[in-house]
Amino acid sequence: MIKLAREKLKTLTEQMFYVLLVLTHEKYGSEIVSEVLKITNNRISLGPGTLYTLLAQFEEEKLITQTKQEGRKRSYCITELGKTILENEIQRLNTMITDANHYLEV
Amino acid sequence: MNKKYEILNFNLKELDVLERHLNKMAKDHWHLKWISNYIICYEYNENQIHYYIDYNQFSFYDKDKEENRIEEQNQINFYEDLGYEFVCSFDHYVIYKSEEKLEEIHTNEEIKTASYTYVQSRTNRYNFYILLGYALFLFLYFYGMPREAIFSFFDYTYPTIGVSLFITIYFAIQNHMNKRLIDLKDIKRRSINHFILKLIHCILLYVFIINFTTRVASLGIIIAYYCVYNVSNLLYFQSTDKQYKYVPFITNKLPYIIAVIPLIFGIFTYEQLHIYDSYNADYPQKIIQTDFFMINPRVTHYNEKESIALHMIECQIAQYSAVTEYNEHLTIYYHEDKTNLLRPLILYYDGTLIPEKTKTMNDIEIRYKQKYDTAHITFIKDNQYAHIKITEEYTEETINNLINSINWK
Repeated sequence: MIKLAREKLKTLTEQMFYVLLVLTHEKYGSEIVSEVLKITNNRISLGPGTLYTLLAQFEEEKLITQTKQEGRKRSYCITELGKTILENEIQRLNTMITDANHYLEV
Repeated sequence: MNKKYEILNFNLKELDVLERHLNKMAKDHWHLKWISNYIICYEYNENQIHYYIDYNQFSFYDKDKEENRIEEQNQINFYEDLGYEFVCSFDHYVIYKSEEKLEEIHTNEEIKTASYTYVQSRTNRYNFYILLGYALFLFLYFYGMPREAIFSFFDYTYPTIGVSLFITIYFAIQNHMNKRLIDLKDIKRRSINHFILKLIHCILLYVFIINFTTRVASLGIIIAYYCVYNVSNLLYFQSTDKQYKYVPFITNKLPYIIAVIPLIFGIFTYEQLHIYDSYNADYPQKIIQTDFFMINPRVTHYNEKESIALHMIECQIAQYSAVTEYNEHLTIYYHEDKTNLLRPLILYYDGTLIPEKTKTMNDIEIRYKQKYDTAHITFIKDNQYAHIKITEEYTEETINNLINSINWK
């Protein structure tokens, strides 16, 4: 399986971030793609290769878990560890924005 | 005609190029029916279609593993759920299609590069195993057969030089053309470029390797060539570590290093070959396997037993060689090699003194004297043979003494 160089997913790319975000509610692969497009106003698109690799990586790192399988469709949901990573990332981004705002005000 | 065949004449490692090419054909309503490493088959269809290609993480190396088959099917199911219909998988690729234009398979360069690197590392590992297999085969080939049948001048040294030249020149050209490929967006020009590269490959292969290979070493050389070919794949991957990243040949030292190894080996064996030429006489029954055989020119006199030995050798090789009466004392046998040139195979002395400074003998004698103080000759009598090491100039007396001391086997 493909391994991303990103160490232990300490920081998330935009695509990683949004995939984890939408998986706070259980979703199928196709739903993840459409939901991410929706909440980003079509700014972030996910190709199947990208999404498949991300999901496999998240699942291996236990950030998400497979909840059910209907025929060829599988649904996923975020785990507690995934939520922690996501919250940390949100906090990190907030800190960055706060830092930037303070700096620009000065 | 609702079918069309096309030779796949661009590099398979160029995933984007293949994808663009399939989509270009699809615009003209030629839909992919099947694809092999060499041929693409299309079928005419009025529908519009779009193709997408992904790296096959579960390529043919691991096809037999059940878990990989399941995982591969899962991946195909996942893609199909997103609207990408599976067409076929071949080599390192999986091909999908859709009627509507969808998102590209990879929308993240980091993941795309990781996929490519993953497939690349598996291919490299596979090539490495092939090389190991070849190396084992070569080892058995060289050590499983009489050495004198392998290490003869024309059998080995020239092909070694050929292989070295081949690696150096071919990779210089390949590297140069790869650089050009990066800038070429037009598929047709890339195809032509690739075709030219393959043509050069074949010409160099013939000129440098096959042309200098005699029948004895041909098997070994062909195997060696495939080693080179597989190394070339490794090198290609190295020079294009990331897709379309160009590494100038001059900074890519690996081809030089690889080229130098057989060259050194060739020079080393060249030094050894003169010894083995005379050692050939160890196994008269196998002499017909050699392409170049030389009787020690320092032996200036042969008695009856030696003449018998030479006569037996002559009988064995006569069917493979042309014979020329050089002069009243000397008979020269020629062997026709793959370059259609006649090469001296054996110098046979009929029993009287070989004239000194004859044109043919001179070269050999000078070369021989410069390098060696000893020589070997085999005597044969009633299907028995004896091998004698010669360390001094011969006179009739010393040779007779030697013959009298022979322990016949």
